[in-house]
Amino acid sequence: MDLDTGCNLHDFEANFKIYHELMRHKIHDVLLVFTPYDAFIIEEDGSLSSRVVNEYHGLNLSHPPRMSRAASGREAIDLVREKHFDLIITMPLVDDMDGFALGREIRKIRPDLPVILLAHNLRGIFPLSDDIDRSGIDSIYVWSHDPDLLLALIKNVEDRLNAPDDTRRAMVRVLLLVEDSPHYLSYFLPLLYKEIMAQTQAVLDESLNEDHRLLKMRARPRILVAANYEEALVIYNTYRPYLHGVISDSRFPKDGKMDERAGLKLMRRIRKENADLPLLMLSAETANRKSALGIPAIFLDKNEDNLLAGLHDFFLDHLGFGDFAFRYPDGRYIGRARNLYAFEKLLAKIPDESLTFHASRNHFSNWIMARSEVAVASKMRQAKVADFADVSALRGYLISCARSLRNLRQQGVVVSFSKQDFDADIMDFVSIGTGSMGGKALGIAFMAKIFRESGASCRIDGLKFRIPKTHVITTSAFDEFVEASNLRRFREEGSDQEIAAAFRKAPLPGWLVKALTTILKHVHFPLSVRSSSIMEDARSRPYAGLYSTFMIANDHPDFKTRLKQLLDAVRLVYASAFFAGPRAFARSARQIGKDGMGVMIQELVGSRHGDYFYPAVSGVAMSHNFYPVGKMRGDEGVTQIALGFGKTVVEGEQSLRFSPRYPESLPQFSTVEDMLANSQRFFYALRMRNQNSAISPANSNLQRREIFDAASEAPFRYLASSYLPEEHRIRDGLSGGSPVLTFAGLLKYDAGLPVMIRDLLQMGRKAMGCDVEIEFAADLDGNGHLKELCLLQIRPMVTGNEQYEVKILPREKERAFCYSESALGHGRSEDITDIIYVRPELFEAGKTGEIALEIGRLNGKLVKEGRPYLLIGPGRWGSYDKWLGIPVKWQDISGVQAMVELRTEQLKVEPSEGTHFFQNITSLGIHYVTVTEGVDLLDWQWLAGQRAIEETTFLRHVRLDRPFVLKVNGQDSRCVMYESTTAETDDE
Amino acid sequence: MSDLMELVKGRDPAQNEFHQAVQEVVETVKPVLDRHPAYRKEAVLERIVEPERVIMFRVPWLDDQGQVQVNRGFRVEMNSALGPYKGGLRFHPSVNLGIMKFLAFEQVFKNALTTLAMGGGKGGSDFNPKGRSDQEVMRFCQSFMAELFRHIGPNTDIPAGDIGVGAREIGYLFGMYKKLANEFTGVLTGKSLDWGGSLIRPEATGYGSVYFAAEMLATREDSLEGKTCLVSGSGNVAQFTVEKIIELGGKVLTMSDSSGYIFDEQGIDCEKLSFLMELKNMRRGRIEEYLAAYPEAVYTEAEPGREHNPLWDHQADCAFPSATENEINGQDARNLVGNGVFLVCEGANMPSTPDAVDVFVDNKLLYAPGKAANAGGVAVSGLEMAQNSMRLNWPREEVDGRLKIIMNSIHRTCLDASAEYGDPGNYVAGANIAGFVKVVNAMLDQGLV
Repeated sequence: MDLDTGCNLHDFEANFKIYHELMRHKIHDVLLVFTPYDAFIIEEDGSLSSRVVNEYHGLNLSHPPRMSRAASGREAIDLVREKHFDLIITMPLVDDMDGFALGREIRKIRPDLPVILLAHNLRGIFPLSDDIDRSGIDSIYVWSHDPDLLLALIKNVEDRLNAPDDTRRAMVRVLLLVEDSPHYLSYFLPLLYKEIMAQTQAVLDESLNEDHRLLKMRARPRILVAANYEEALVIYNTYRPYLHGVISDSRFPKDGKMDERAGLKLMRRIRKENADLPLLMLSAETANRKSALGIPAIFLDKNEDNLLAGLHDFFLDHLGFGDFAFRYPDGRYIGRARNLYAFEKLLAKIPDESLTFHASRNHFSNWIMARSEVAVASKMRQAKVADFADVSALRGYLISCARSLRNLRQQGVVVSFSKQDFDADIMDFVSIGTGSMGGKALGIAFMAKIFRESGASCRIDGLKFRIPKTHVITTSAFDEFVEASNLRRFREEGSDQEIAAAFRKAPLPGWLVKALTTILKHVHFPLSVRSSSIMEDARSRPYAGLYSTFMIANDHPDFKTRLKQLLDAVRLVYASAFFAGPRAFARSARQIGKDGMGVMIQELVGSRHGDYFYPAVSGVAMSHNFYPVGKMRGDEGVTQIALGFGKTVVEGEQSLRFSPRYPESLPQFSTVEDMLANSQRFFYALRMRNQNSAISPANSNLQRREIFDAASEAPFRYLASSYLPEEHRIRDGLSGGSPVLTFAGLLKYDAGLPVMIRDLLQMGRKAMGCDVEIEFAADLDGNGHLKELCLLQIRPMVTGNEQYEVKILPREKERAFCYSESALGHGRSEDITDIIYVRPELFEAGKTGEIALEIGRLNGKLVKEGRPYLLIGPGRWGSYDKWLGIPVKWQDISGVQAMVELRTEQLKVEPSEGTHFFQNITSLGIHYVTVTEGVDLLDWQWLAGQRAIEETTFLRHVRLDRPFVLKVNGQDSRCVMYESTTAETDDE
Repeated sequence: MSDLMELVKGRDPAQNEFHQAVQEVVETVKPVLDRHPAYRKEAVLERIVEPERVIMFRVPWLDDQGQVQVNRGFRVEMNSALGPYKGGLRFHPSVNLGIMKFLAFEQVFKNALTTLAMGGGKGGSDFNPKGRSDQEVMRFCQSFMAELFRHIGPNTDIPAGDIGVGAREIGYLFGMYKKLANEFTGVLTGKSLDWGGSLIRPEATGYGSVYFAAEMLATREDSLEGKTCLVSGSGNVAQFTVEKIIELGGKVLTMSDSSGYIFDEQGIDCEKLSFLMELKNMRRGRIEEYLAAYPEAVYTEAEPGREHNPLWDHQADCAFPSATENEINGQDARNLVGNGVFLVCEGANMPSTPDAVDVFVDNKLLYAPGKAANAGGVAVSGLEMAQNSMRLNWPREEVDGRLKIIMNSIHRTCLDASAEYGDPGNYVAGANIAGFVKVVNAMLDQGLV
């Protein structure tokens, strides 16, 4: 155990794996050997089986046992021979034999099968005559007309079977009950179990879901019963390190004889070795009270009316189920902790002697263990006072344990913001206001829950998934904001600049400003301020990437400036709800109704490098690969990564694309020349110091830096390779020559990232029930290793809509003006007559910005006329880098129904899937066709022969007399487009 | 002649690339054959078109998924009249026997022209390294060499890299050869510097082409001193062409990349070149960014639709096309001539279209075709072999000095051949003939083997 590093819950079995391993022995099948009469009597007390089932459910216990019946000993023996049972409960007389004889017979068949004798009364069984051989019976109980007894004795058998493993595995506590009287045992056992169940439930983490509460209940204390002094000693010696308390009768057999003072003797002996173990004497003889108190032990009179209340208090005050009472070693009271938060606070304040006193007696671990927090309790218990250099080190360790536990309990839980309770250190997900959190935030909250349930672990030990600390402003703030300042008018009018200006001037709701002020006072890391519209990431209508995002350094020395930057960022995100892009998208998606806007204020993932802050790697991964090449398969997914913020990937700039299944196979980096040409050259970083007080709407307030300028910064050093011109080779790692960003450190020499992406995609796909697209970011530790992957966003991909078969026939290919073997989408379209294409003879890579403007103008015209069109052009559509393709925005092509991306010798760039832009295209069912020169077909001559509606500097807009036929087969990615004739019939 | 072509086609009807290469050589060397009846009598053409040995073999290997993959390996040992077979290995899906023979055939004459003791060969496989991991490439290379090793050796056949075979592959191939042959010898060229490679490799082509140009000028008792030069490209060849021109006193006005070109009237000096080398090699930026540091220069964006390249439309003395194939068309050539350019030296492979070459030849320019002017790269391979044989690593000055000697020698060979065959100063004819004559003479000397 590394005590120097504090109590890190990631070292523990912080997930639920350990709980699954507890309680391995369950009683599933019980055989009740009752005569019809016994059965009738017991049934009169209520249907036995259903009572047991109800009790199980009532106590939130899983899997109630199945009850089978036998009416005679012979029948019981036959059944035991034929079937598997976990427990036999028999009455003393069962038709053809007595219960003891039956027990012995069963032992012959199944020596390990527990057999319990359940009597109507004590007559003949207690005290048991010496001439009765009870070797076939494990325990004797008296039917007290309390169905809880059945449950308790089943539980007790389970406890006995599980105690050896569970104490060793998880240091589960053991409660020793010494009672020889079947009568009292039958009375106490149900009481004790009820109390343990109820108390354990009461102190379990409230954020747990029902399944996990059930799991955690498995760490409750085990009750082990002894009927005499010797048995008690065996249990005591076996489970001494795990003993949580002893409850004992005063009078029971010792050395084969009834001993009036056996209880006192036992307790004295135990006390001698355990000064602080809670001891409770249950005795019908009040004379024992004084002796008990002298041990010291708690004394309760078995016959007192308030026995139940006394037991309850014993659990609360001594077994750790109540508040934690901090005391001096002499018993003086210091303070009381009702919950973990108060516990942690008080730990910091109490005097050294109190801390040592409680720690040396395992009070802290007992109290934590009572809450079924096995991992932390074990950790606390293992840490001996002597292990620490001084009390302050011990104190620090205990505080870190408590804090880690609180933190763990908060993970995956959305907490509503309140000024009083806000704790920035441990609250990972806070919602501010009422109403919806919006699609993006809901996606993240959902994954937080999944992470919590799965333990957020990937299949490689030590690697974790995480969601950055998130604060979500719900949609109510947006509604109030736009109503109060009459901003709703911008839904239909105004340029983006006008809208931004108006929104920046408008006041935010006072309660929101107050909440953000409180939060900002406690939050000192850089932040991202992102949209979380209710329409965003909704299935099949994603507004992905249409709204604004801002990164803020949050490091200005003046708090007012920090706050102003945050509030401004929120206003600008709000403004983007009414910008032209989303408006155009809403129209093309035929979206009606209002768009509520939430805002996510999230911790930025990354580290500071000089004056800049950025993550070592960020990217987008999709669970379906539209362009699988070589050995890759579509369903293995695809990832694009870049140094710095993910804007590089999302906006289609140069990034590295790979299959997480085959991270070492990089088609983009096949040759030295490819690597030099295709490696990332620019990245986005957040400028930290000397920021202007106003945030910049350009580039999300980020700066576009040259990779070369970051060559001395840590992430680059870990991720780069070197080009050695004298050998014309690239060597991984920096070793002279010129640096090239290859990510070899992450993809070739550390399996972490690809495996984590695969696991995350799998988790996301399973959780959302469809293919997903995720955004992520990660930082490296001081040795260049990946430790955690932060999930920034998750949304469904629209694939797999192949509801009907599309066949492309050879004759259709023969008459096609366009044919490709690399197309996205699926289906058949026969409603396009308009085609806009970039005239190949006039295309200039340097003029792609102007071409985008022309496309936007023609698009506007066609949208007004309600005419869908086919767009054909070279390079990567929507690219930010004008040299790689035409940098159209969504609003420039909002009316498009099919697009052709030409890969020519001039613009032979990687296909452009993997951007927000693509998400929109695929979700609207737009066919996206890649035509590679020399491989596929595009008949320029045919295009040139069509009637031109308009010719611009770079474009030609032609219109056919009737719609052409377009077919895309999503299964084999083939696409064909051909002119239809009047006699066109459906070939399919 | 037609009989020979029929023979070649009849023997290997599907090898179109090879047929074309043979056709071109046969046409070029017709005056030589006419003058030397011994060549016909001894059937040198019939002998030279038939490889001395062809090795084809199976290359089985395991991919990362444990699946067996099978490719086909080739080594065409075309001609060893002048020295051990020498020529690259190509890993590309397009590789087949016809292409291998075509490349090996051309290599024979290229190597002969260097005046070094190198025969000609070529090899490779239809293996596609695209999208393959390092481990897969290694396993393939090892399997490839497991067969090839018995056919090659430092005095027999010395392969080098080509398309798909770079320093990484040479390393894997060499490692396997060493293990199987149990000897560390210079059996491959293109090795890393630390284990047998030679210095000056990146510089060789650029430097070599300038040395060749200087020699051409020397025939007119002139030099590069004070000459204005148009250089295209900004990769290795262009960068070191510019460096050597500056060293020899010339003034470079232009450089380019695929996006456009810069024209710097003041000339690109050492400092500017150093900036540009950092821009292209370290930052991998576009040539346009030169203007950020040197705003007095003019940037002109490339216009693909244009009928001529404006880079070649500036007043200058010399032109060094060092970018790509077909970058000078007939119009560009006329512009060059019109702008006073009297020397064109090709650092790139076939940068001038046939029309352009005709314009240069017709106007009696000092025109050095790529096969002669950019032989510096092949020459350094020869120098690597020499260093390996001597178990010495020459310092860069020595390699550079020897490169200069080789380029002078190539120049002299071409010039002499052009004069001998009636077209003095025609380096195109000279280069075509000189290599051929060297090879066939050696074959005749060595008898019918």
